[in-house]
Amino acid sequence: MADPRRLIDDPEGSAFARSLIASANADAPSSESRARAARRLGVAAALIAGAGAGTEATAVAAVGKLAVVLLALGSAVGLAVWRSPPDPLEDRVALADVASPASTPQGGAAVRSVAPAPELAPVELAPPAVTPPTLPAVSAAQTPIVPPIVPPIAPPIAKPRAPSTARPARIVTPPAVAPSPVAPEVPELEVVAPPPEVVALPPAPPAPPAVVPAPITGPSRLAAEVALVDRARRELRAGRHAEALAALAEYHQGFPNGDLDAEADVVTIETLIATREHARARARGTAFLARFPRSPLAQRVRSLIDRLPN
Amino acid sequence: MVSEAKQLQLAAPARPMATVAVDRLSEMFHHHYDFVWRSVRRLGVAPDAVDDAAQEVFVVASRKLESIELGKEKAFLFGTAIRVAADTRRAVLRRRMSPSDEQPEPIDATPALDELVDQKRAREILDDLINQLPEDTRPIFVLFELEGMTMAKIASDLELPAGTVASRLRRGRELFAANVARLEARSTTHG
Repeated sequence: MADPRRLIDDPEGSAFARSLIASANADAPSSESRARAARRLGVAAALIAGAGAGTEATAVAAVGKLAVVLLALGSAVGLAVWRSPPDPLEDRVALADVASPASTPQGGAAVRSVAPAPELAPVELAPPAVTPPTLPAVSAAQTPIVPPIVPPIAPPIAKPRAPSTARPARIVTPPAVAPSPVAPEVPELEVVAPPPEVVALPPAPPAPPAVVPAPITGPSRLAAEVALVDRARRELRAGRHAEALAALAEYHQGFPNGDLDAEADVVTIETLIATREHARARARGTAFLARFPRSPLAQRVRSLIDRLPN
Repeated sequence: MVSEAKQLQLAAPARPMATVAVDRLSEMFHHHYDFVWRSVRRLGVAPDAVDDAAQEVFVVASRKLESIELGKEKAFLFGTAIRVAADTRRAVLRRRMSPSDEQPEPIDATPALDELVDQKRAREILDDLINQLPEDTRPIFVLFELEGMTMAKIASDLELPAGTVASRLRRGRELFAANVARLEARSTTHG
Protein backbone atom coordinates (compact mmCIF):
# COMPACT_ATOMS: atom_id res chain seq x y z
CA MET A 1 0.00 0.00 0.00
CA ALA A 2 1.49 3.30 -1.05
CA ASP A 3 2.01 5.92 1.59
CA PRO A 4 -0.12 9.00 1.18
CA ARG A 5 1.67 12.26 0.58
CA ARG A 6 2.59 13.87 3.86
CA LEU A 7 0.68 16.99 4.76
CA ILE A 8 3.82 19.06 4.77
CA ASP A 9 4.71 17.87 1.28
CA ASP A 10 1.31 18.37 -0.24
CA PRO A 11 1.18 21.68 -2.10
CA GLU A 12 -2.49 21.16 -2.77
CA GLY A 13 -3.28 20.84 0.91
CA SER A 14 -3.90 23.59 3.40
CA ALA A 15 -1.02 26.03 3.76
CA PHE A 16 -2.13 26.58 7.31
CA ALA A 17 -1.85 22.85 8.01
CA ARG A 18 1.64 22.87 6.50
CA SER A 19 2.71 25.76 8.70
CA LEU A 20 1.35 23.97 11.75
CA ILE A 21 3.22 20.78 10.93
CA ALA A 22 6.36 22.77 10.18
CA SER A 23 6.19 24.35 13.60
CA ALA A 24 7.26 20.99 15.03
CA ASN A 25 10.53 21.13 13.14
CA ALA A 26 12.17 22.93 16.00
CA ASP A 27 11.32 20.20 18.48
CA ALA A 28 14.63 19.18 19.93
CA PRO A 29 16.14 18.90 23.35
CA SER A 30 18.57 21.55 24.39
CA SER A 31 22.14 20.52 24.95
CA GLU A 32 21.52 21.12 28.65
CA SER A 33 18.58 18.75 28.60
CA ARG A 34 20.65 16.10 26.91
CA ALA A 35 23.55 16.54 29.26
CA ARG A 36 21.35 16.50 32.32
CA ALA A 37 19.60 13.33 31.24
CA ALA A 38 22.90 11.68 30.39
CA ARG A 39 24.27 12.55 33.77
CA ARG A 40 21.23 11.34 35.63
CA LEU A 41 21.17 8.13 33.69
CA GLY A 42 24.87 7.76 34.14
CA VAL A 43 25.55 7.29 30.48
CA ALA A 44 27.93 10.13 29.88
CA ALA A 45 29.88 10.68 33.04
CA ALA A 46 32.09 13.69 32.55
CA LEU A 47 32.00 13.84 28.79
CA ILE A 48 28.99 16.04 28.59
CA ALA A 49 29.86 17.74 25.39
CA GLY A 50 32.66 18.54 23.12
CA ALA A 51 33.53 15.39 21.30
CA GLY A 52 31.87 14.18 18.18
CA ALA A 53 29.86 16.46 16.00
CA GLY A 54 30.09 19.56 18.13
CA THR A 55 31.92 22.48 16.76
CA GLU A 56 35.46 22.98 17.74
CA ALA A 57 34.49 26.05 19.69
CA THR A 58 31.91 24.08 21.59
CA ALA A 59 34.46 21.44 22.34
CA VAL A 60 36.94 23.93 23.63
CA ALA A 61 34.30 25.62 25.75
CA ALA A 62 33.18 22.31 27.16
CA VAL A 63 36.72 21.32 27.95
CA GLY A 64 37.21 24.58 29.78
CA LYS A 65 34.04 24.15 31.76
CA LEU A 66 34.91 20.61 32.63
CA ALA A 67 38.32 21.63 33.80
CA VAL A 68 36.69 24.21 36.05
CA VAL A 69 34.25 21.64 37.32
CA LEU A 70 37.00 19.17 38.05
CA LEU A 71 39.04 21.76 39.87
CA ALA A 72 35.97 22.88 41.73
CA LEU A 73 35.32 19.40 42.90
CA GLY A 74 38.66 19.68 44.52
CA SER A 75 39.05 15.97 44.72
CA ALA A 76 40.28 13.18 42.62
CA VAL A 77 36.81 11.82 42.14
CA GLY A 78 36.06 13.78 39.04
CA LEU A 79 39.40 12.86 37.65
CA ALA A 80 38.93 9.24 38.46
CA VAL A 81 35.64 9.24 36.62
CA TRP A 82 37.19 11.20 33.85
CA ARG A 83 40.12 8.93 33.38
CA SER A 84 38.58 5.65 34.23
CA PRO A 85 37.04 4.51 31.01
CA PRO A 86 38.43 1.67 29.27
CA ASP A 87 34.68 1.77 28.91
CA PRO A 88 33.83 2.64 25.33
CA LEU A 89 30.59 4.33 26.24
CA GLU A 90 32.54 7.27 27.48
CA ASP A 91 33.74 7.77 23.97
CA ARG A 92 30.51 7.11 22.26
CA VAL A 93 28.12 9.15 24.29
CA ALA A 94 29.53 12.38 23.22
CA LEU A 95 26.23 14.22 23.18
CA ALA A 96 27.50 15.97 20.26
CA ASP A 97 24.98 17.92 18.31
CA VAL A 98 24.81 20.75 20.74
CA ALA A 99 24.77 23.34 18.08
CA SER A 100 21.71 22.20 16.23
CA PRO A 101 18.63 22.44 18.41
CA ALA A 102 16.76 24.74 16.10
CA SER A 103 17.80 23.13 12.90
CA THR A 104 16.57 19.61 13.29
CA PRO A 105 15.32 18.64 9.89
CA GLN A 106 11.69 17.88 9.68
CA GLY A 107 10.82 14.31 9.68
CA GLY A 108 13.82 12.62 10.81
CA ALA A 109 16.15 11.54 13.37
CA ALA A 110 18.41 14.45 13.95
CA VAL A 111 21.53 14.07 11.97
CA ARG A 112 24.41 13.42 14.23
CA SER A 113 27.82 12.33 13.32
CA VAL A 114 29.09 9.75 15.68
CA ALA A 115 32.74 10.33 15.54
CA PRO A 116 34.74 8.57 18.16
CA ALA A 117 35.96 10.98 20.74
CA PRO A 118 39.45 12.17 20.17
CA GLU A 119 42.01 11.96 22.86
CA LEU A 120 40.89 14.73 25.10
CA ALA A 121 43.06 17.46 26.31
CA PRO A 122 41.66 18.10 29.77
CA VAL A 123 43.43 15.11 31.14
CA GLU A 124 46.51 17.20 30.82
CA LEU A 125 44.89 20.02 32.75
CA ALA A 126 43.87 17.92 35.65
CA PRO A 127 45.94 17.21 38.70
CA PRO A 128 47.83 13.95 38.85
CA ALA A 129 45.77 10.85 39.16
CA VAL A 130 44.96 9.80 42.63
CA THR A 131 43.96 6.31 43.39
CA PRO A 132 40.61 5.66 44.99
CA PRO A 133 41.74 5.00 48.57
CA THR A 134 42.53 8.67 48.91
CA LEU A 135 39.07 9.74 47.91
CA PRO A 136 37.32 11.87 50.44
CA ALA A 137 34.59 9.88 51.99
CA VAL A 138 32.40 9.87 54.97
CA SER A 139 31.65 6.98 57.17
CA ALA A 140 28.35 5.30 56.86
CA ALA A 141 27.38 6.62 60.26
CA GLN A 142 27.48 10.14 58.91
CA THR A 143 25.19 9.46 56.05
CA PRO A 144 21.65 10.61 56.50
CA ILE A 145 19.43 7.58 56.60
CA VAL A 146 16.52 9.11 54.81
CA PRO A 147 16.82 12.37 53.00
CA PRO A 148 14.53 15.06 54.27
CA ILE A 149 11.73 16.20 52.07
CA VAL A 150 13.28 18.44 49.53
CA PRO A 151 11.41 21.56 48.55
CA PRO A 152 10.10 21.21 45.04
CA ILE A 153 11.72 24.36 43.84
CA ALA A 154 15.22 23.99 42.56
CA PRO A 155 17.75 26.52 43.73
CA PRO A 156 18.02 29.47 41.37
CA ILE A 157 20.68 29.03 38.79
CA ALA A 158 22.20 32.40 39.45
CA LYS A 159 22.99 31.43 42.96
CA PRO A 160 26.31 29.67 43.11
CA ARG A 161 25.92 26.29 44.62
CA ALA A 162 27.92 26.06 47.77
CA PRO A 163 30.72 23.56 47.85
CA SER A 164 28.56 21.60 50.14
CA THR A 165 29.53 18.49 51.92
CA ALA A 166 26.55 16.91 50.31
CA ARG A 167 28.62 16.15 47.26
CA PRO A 168 31.25 14.16 49.08
CA ALA A 169 28.47 12.50 51.01
CA ARG A 170 27.27 10.95 47.80
CA ILE A 171 30.46 9.03 47.57
CA VAL A 172 29.37 6.72 50.31
CA THR A 173 28.29 3.34 49.20
CA PRO A 174 27.23 0.79 51.72
CA PRO A 175 29.16 -2.41 51.11
CA ALA A 176 25.92 -4.27 50.51
CA VAL A 177 25.06 -2.08 47.54
CA ALA A 178 28.21 -2.00 45.58
CA PRO A 179 31.78 -2.79 46.37
CA SER A 180 33.16 0.51 45.26
CA PRO A 181 32.70 4.15 45.96
CA VAL A 182 30.20 6.00 43.91
CA ALA A 183 31.18 8.85 41.74
CA PRO A 184 29.54 12.11 42.62
CA GLU A 185 27.24 13.79 40.25
CA VAL A 186 28.99 16.31 38.10
CA PRO A 187 27.59 19.69 39.05
CA GLU A 188 25.57 21.75 36.67
CA LEU A 189 27.91 23.32 34.21
CA GLU A 190 26.43 26.76 34.71
CA VAL A 191 27.18 26.72 38.38
CA VAL A 192 29.79 29.18 39.42
CA ALA A 193 32.73 27.16 40.50
CA PRO A 194 33.23 27.15 44.22
CA PRO A 195 36.76 27.48 45.48
CA PRO A 196 38.56 24.19 45.59
CA GLU A 197 37.92 22.72 48.91
CA VAL A 198 38.32 19.26 50.19
CA VAL A 199 36.30 18.46 53.20
CA ALA A 200 38.48 16.58 55.57
CA LEU A 201 36.59 13.53 56.57
CA PRO A 202 37.46 10.25 58.19
CA PRO A 203 38.63 7.56 55.83
CA ALA A 204 36.11 5.23 54.34
CA PRO A 205 35.57 1.87 55.97
CA PRO A 206 38.01 -0.74 54.73
CA ALA A 207 37.14 -2.28 51.42
CA PRO A 208 36.18 -5.92 51.26
CA PRO A 209 39.26 -8.09 51.02
CA ALA A 210 40.67 -8.84 47.61
CA VAL A 211 38.54 -6.20 45.96
CA VAL A 212 40.35 -3.17 44.74
CA PRO A 213 38.06 -0.22 45.17
CA ALA A 214 37.52 1.31 41.79
CA PRO A 215 35.81 4.52 40.92
CA ILE A 216 32.29 3.68 39.97
CA THR A 217 31.13 5.56 37.00
CA GLY A 218 27.58 6.74 36.72
CA PRO A 219 26.36 3.65 34.90
CA SER A 220 27.28 1.34 37.71
CA ARG A 221 25.60 3.64 40.15
CA LEU A 222 22.40 3.61 38.18
CA ALA A 223 22.61 -0.17 37.93
CA ALA A 224 23.01 -0.39 41.70
CA GLU A 225 20.11 1.98 42.23
CA VAL A 226 17.90 0.04 39.88
CA ALA A 227 18.85 -3.23 41.55
CA LEU A 228 17.87 -1.95 44.99
CA VAL A 229 14.57 -0.45 43.95
CA ASP A 230 13.74 -3.59 42.01
CA ARG A 231 14.60 -5.69 45.04
CA ALA A 232 12.27 -3.59 47.17
CA ARG A 233 9.54 -4.05 44.58
CA ARG A 234 10.06 -7.80 44.46
CA GLU A 235 9.93 -8.08 48.24
CA LEU A 236 6.76 -6.03 48.30
CA ARG A 237 5.15 -8.24 45.67
CA ALA A 238 6.15 -11.29 47.67
CA GLY A 239 4.51 -9.83 50.75
CA ARG A 240 7.79 -9.40 52.58
CA HIS A 241 7.13 -5.89 53.69
CA ALA A 242 9.89 -5.57 56.24
CA GLU A 243 12.42 -6.69 53.66
CA ALA A 244 11.00 -4.22 51.16
CA LEU A 245 11.37 -1.37 53.63
CA ALA A 246 14.88 -2.55 54.47
CA ALA A 247 15.84 -2.44 50.80
CA LEU A 248 14.37 1.06 50.54
CA ALA A 249 16.25 2.21 53.61
CA GLU A 250 19.37 0.78 52.05
CA TYR A 251 18.61 2.67 48.88
CA HIS A 252 18.19 5.98 50.66
CA GLN A 253 21.29 5.38 52.71
CA GLY A 254 23.38 4.50 49.72
CA PHE A 255 21.97 7.07 47.36
CA PRO A 256 20.80 10.16 49.16
CA ASN A 257 19.11 12.22 46.46
CA GLY A 258 19.48 9.29 44.11
CA ASP A 259 18.26 9.32 40.58
CA LEU A 260 15.47 6.89 41.34
CA ASP A 261 14.18 8.74 44.37
CA ALA A 262 10.76 9.06 42.83
CA GLU A 263 10.48 5.37 42.06
CA ALA A 264 11.74 4.46 45.51
CA ASP A 265 9.16 6.78 47.04
CA VAL A 266 6.36 5.10 45.14
CA VAL A 267 7.43 1.67 46.35
CA THR A 268 7.65 3.06 49.88
CA ILE A 269 4.11 4.40 49.64
CA GLU A 270 2.86 1.10 48.27
CA THR A 271 4.58 -0.78 51.06
CA LEU A 272 3.11 1.50 53.71
CA ILE A 273 -0.32 0.93 52.23
CA ALA A 274 0.27 -2.80 52.24
CA THR A 275 1.14 -2.63 55.92
CA ARG A 276 -1.94 -0.48 56.54
CA GLU A 277 0.07 2.49 57.71
CA HIS A 278 -2.30 4.78 55.95
CA ALA A 279 -1.37 8.01 57.68
CA ARG A 280 2.28 7.57 56.83
CA ALA A 281 1.41 6.54 53.30
CA ARG A 282 -0.67 9.64 52.84
CA ALA A 283 2.07 11.86 54.25
CA ARG A 284 4.66 10.31 51.95
CA GLY A 285 2.28 10.61 49.03
CA THR A 286 1.59 14.26 49.69
CA ALA A 287 5.28 14.95 50.04
CA PHE A 288 5.90 13.10 46.80
CA LEU A 289 3.39 15.21 44.92
CA ALA A 290 4.93 18.37 46.27
CA ARG A 291 8.38 17.24 45.28
CA PHE A 292 7.62 15.63 41.93
CA PRO A 293 4.43 17.30 40.70
CA ARG A 294 5.21 16.63 37.07
CA SER A 295 6.56 13.15 37.42
CA PRO A 296 4.93 10.54 35.26
CA LEU A 297 4.50 8.68 38.55
CA ALA A 298 2.46 11.48 40.09
CA GLN A 299 -0.76 10.14 38.67
CA ARG A 300 -0.14 6.79 40.26
CA VAL A 301 0.64 8.31 43.63
CA ARG A 302 -2.50 10.43 43.52
CA SER A 303 -4.52 7.40 42.72
CA LEU A 304 -2.92 5.49 45.60
CA ILE A 305 -3.60 8.11 48.22
CA ASP A 306 -7.06 8.89 46.86
CA ARG A 307 -8.05 5.32 47.53
CA LEU A 308 -6.91 5.47 51.13
CA PRO A 309 -9.73 5.44 53.68
CA ASN A 310 -10.15 8.72 55.49
CA MET B 1 50.35 9.95 31.45
CA VAL B 2 50.18 6.74 29.55
CA SER B 3 51.70 4.77 32.35
CA GLU B 4 49.30 6.33 34.84
CA ALA B 5 46.42 5.43 32.65
CA LYS B 6 47.71 1.90 32.39
CA GLN B 7 48.09 1.70 36.12
CA LEU B 8 44.55 2.84 36.53
CA GLN B 9 43.36 0.21 34.12
CA LEU B 10 45.38 -2.47 35.84
CA ALA B 11 44.05 -1.45 39.19
CA ALA B 12 40.50 -1.56 37.96
CA PRO B 13 38.61 -4.74 38.62
CA ALA B 14 37.05 -6.78 35.86
CA ARG B 15 34.26 -4.93 34.14
CA PRO B 16 31.25 -5.05 36.41
CA MET B 17 28.54 -7.36 35.29
CA ALA B 18 26.25 -4.48 34.55
CA THR B 19 28.69 -2.91 32.15
CA VAL B 20 27.41 -4.65 29.08
CA ALA B 21 23.89 -3.58 29.87
CA VAL B 22 25.08 -0.09 30.58
CA ASP B 23 26.91 0.00 27.28
CA ARG B 24 23.70 -0.87 25.58
CA LEU B 25 21.78 1.77 27.48
CA SER B 26 24.41 4.26 26.48
CA GLU B 27 24.12 3.25 22.85
CA MET B 28 20.37 3.66 23.04
CA PHE B 29 20.68 7.01 24.72
CA HIS B 30 23.19 8.25 22.23
CA HIS B 31 21.23 7.19 19.20
CA HIS B 32 17.72 7.81 20.35
CA TYR B 33 17.56 10.45 23.07
CA ASP B 34 16.58 13.18 20.65
CA PHE B 35 13.99 10.93 19.04
CA VAL B 36 12.52 10.04 22.43
CA TRP B 37 12.50 13.67 23.47
CA ARG B 38 10.76 14.72 20.25
CA SER B 39 8.32 11.86 20.58
CA VAL B 40 7.14 12.61 24.10
CA ARG B 41 6.88 16.26 23.17
CA ARG B 42 4.83 15.46 20.08
CA LEU B 43 2.70 12.97 21.92
CA GLY B 44 1.40 15.80 24.01
CA VAL B 45 3.76 16.33 26.92
CA ALA B 46 4.05 20.00 27.81
CA PRO B 47 7.43 21.61 27.09
CA ASP B 48 8.36 22.00 30.73
CA ALA B 49 7.75 18.34 31.45
CA VAL B 50 9.46 16.84 28.42
CA ASP B 51 12.90 16.42 29.97
CA ASP B 52 11.54 14.41 32.86
CA ALA B 53 9.36 12.30 30.62
CA ALA B 54 12.19 11.55 28.20
CA GLN B 55 14.39 10.57 31.08
CA GLU B 56 11.68 8.35 32.47
CA VAL B 57 11.58 6.48 29.16
CA PHE B 58 15.25 5.62 29.53
CA VAL B 59 14.85 4.64 33.17
CA VAL B 60 12.20 2.18 32.09
CA ALA B 61 14.49 0.95 29.31
CA SER B 62 17.34 0.49 31.75
CA ARG B 63 15.20 -1.89 33.75
CA LYS B 64 14.04 -3.90 30.81
CA LEU B 65 17.19 -4.10 28.77
CA GLU B 66 17.20 -7.87 28.74
CA SER B 67 13.78 -8.01 27.18
CA ILE B 68 14.53 -5.52 24.45
CA GLU B 69 15.21 -7.36 21.24
CA LEU B 70 18.34 -6.41 19.39
CA GLY B 71 17.49 -4.01 16.63
CA LYS B 72 14.17 -3.13 18.24
CA GLU B 73 15.52 -0.54 20.61
CA LYS B 74 13.93 2.43 18.91
CA ALA B 75 10.60 0.67 18.68
CA PHE B 76 10.77 -0.21 22.37
CA LEU B 77 11.62 3.36 23.28
CA PHE B 78 8.76 4.72 21.26
CA GLY B 79 6.32 2.26 22.81
CA THR B 80 7.54 3.34 26.23
CA ALA B 81 7.34 6.97 25.20
CA ILE B 82 3.67 6.48 24.32
CA ARG B 83 2.93 5.15 27.79
CA VAL B 84 5.02 7.71 29.64
CA ALA B 85 3.49 10.53 27.61
CA ALA B 86 0.00 9.25 28.39
CA ASP B 87 0.83 9.07 32.11
CA THR B 88 2.31 12.54 32.08
CA ARG B 89 -0.63 14.00 30.21
CA ARG B 90 -3.05 12.42 32.66
CA ALA B 91 -1.05 13.76 35.60
CA VAL B 92 -1.15 17.25 34.15
CA LEU B 93 -4.86 17.06 33.38
CA ARG B 94 -5.50 15.87 36.87
CA ARG B 95 -3.54 18.76 38.30
CA ARG B 96 -5.43 21.21 36.19
CA MET B 97 -8.69 19.87 37.52
CA SER B 98 -7.61 20.82 41.00
CA PRO B 99 -9.34 24.11 41.85
CA SER B 100 -6.28 25.43 43.64
CA ASP B 101 -4.20 25.21 40.51
CA GLU B 102 -3.90 27.94 38.05
CA GLN B 103 -5.91 27.20 34.98
CA PRO B 104 -3.87 26.96 31.82
CA GLU B 105 -4.52 29.49 29.21
CA PRO B 106 -6.99 27.91 26.85
CA ILE B 107 -6.22 27.76 23.18
CA ASP B 108 -8.05 30.59 21.57
CA ALA B 109 -10.12 29.07 18.86
CA THR B 110 -10.43 32.29 16.97
CA PRO B 111 -7.01 33.76 16.40
CA ALA B 112 -6.41 36.13 13.57
CA LEU B 113 -4.59 34.67 10.60
CA ASP B 114 -1.54 36.83 11.09
CA GLU B 115 -1.18 35.40 14.56
CA LEU B 116 -1.35 31.93 13.17
CA VAL B 117 1.87 32.29 11.30
CA ASP B 118 3.66 32.93 14.51
CA GLN B 119 5.81 29.94 15.15
CA LYS B 120 5.15 29.55 18.84
CA ARG B 121 1.50 30.03 18.41
CA ALA B 122 1.48 27.52 15.58
CA ARG B 123 3.25 24.99 17.78
CA GLU B 124 0.65 25.44 20.51
CA ILE B 125 -2.14 24.93 18.04
CA LEU B 126 -0.44 21.86 16.65
CA ASP B 127 -0.21 20.50 20.19
CA ASP B 128 -3.89 21.07 20.65
CA LEU B 129 -4.80 19.43 17.36
CA ILE B 130 -2.64 16.39 18.00
CA ASN B 131 -4.06 16.06 21.49
CA GLN B 132 -7.53 15.91 19.99
CA LEU B 133 -6.64 12.78 18.05
CA PRO B 134 -7.68 9.45 19.54
CA GLU B 135 -5.05 7.69 21.64
CA ASP B 136 -4.59 4.88 19.15
CA THR B 137 -4.22 7.26 16.24
CA ARG B 138 -1.94 9.89 17.70
CA PRO B 139 1.33 7.91 17.68
CA ILE B 140 0.82 6.84 14.08
CA PHE B 141 0.01 10.37 12.99
CA VAL B 142 3.09 11.69 14.79
CA LEU B 143 5.44 9.09 13.36
CA PHE B 144 4.15 9.54 9.83
CA GLU B 145 3.55 13.26 9.59
CA LEU B 146 6.15 14.66 11.96
CA GLU B 147 8.82 12.00 12.14
CA GLY B 148 8.60 11.16 8.46
CA MET B 149 8.48 7.40 8.91
CA THR B 150 6.88 5.13 6.33
CA MET B 151 3.72 3.24 7.11
CA ALA B 152 5.59 -0.04 6.71
CA LYS B 153 8.18 0.98 9.28
CA ILE B 154 5.49 2.19 11.65
CA ALA B 155 3.63 -1.12 11.31
CA SER B 156 6.83 -3.01 11.99
CA ASP B 157 7.86 -0.91 14.98
CA LEU B 158 4.45 -0.84 16.60
CA GLU B 159 3.85 -4.47 15.67
CA LEU B 160 0.56 -3.64 14.04
CA PRO B 161 -0.89 -5.00 10.81
CA ALA B 162 -0.26 -2.71 7.87
CA GLY B 163 -4.00 -2.33 7.34
CA THR B 164 -4.48 -1.13 10.89
CA VAL B 165 -1.77 1.46 10.50
CA ALA B 166 -3.24 2.62 7.20
CA SER B 167 -6.75 2.96 8.58
CA ARG B 168 -5.66 4.74 11.76
CA LEU B 169 -3.46 7.08 9.80
CA ARG B 170 -6.31 7.84 7.42
CA ARG B 171 -8.62 8.55 10.34
CA GLY B 172 -5.99 10.72 12.03
CA ARG B 173 -5.37 12.73 8.89
CA GLU B 174 -9.08 13.23 8.31
CA LEU B 175 -9.65 14.42 11.85
CA PHE B 176 -6.63 16.67 11.71
CA ALA B 177 -7.69 18.16 8.39
CA ALA B 178 -11.23 18.71 9.63
CA ASN B 179 -10.01 20.48 12.75
CA VAL B 180 -7.60 22.60 10.74
CA ALA B 181 -10.40 23.56 8.36
CA ARG B 182 -12.58 24.50 11.31
CA LEU B 183 -9.86 26.73 12.73
CA GLU B 184 -9.24 28.31 9.35
CA ALA B 185 -12.93 29.02 8.89
CA ARG B 186 -13.16 30.68 12.30
CA SER B 187 -10.01 32.67 11.70
CA THR B 188 -11.32 33.91 8.41
CA THR B 189 -14.61 34.83 9.97
CA HIS B 190 -13.05 36.68 12.86
CA GLY B 191 -9.87 37.89 11.28
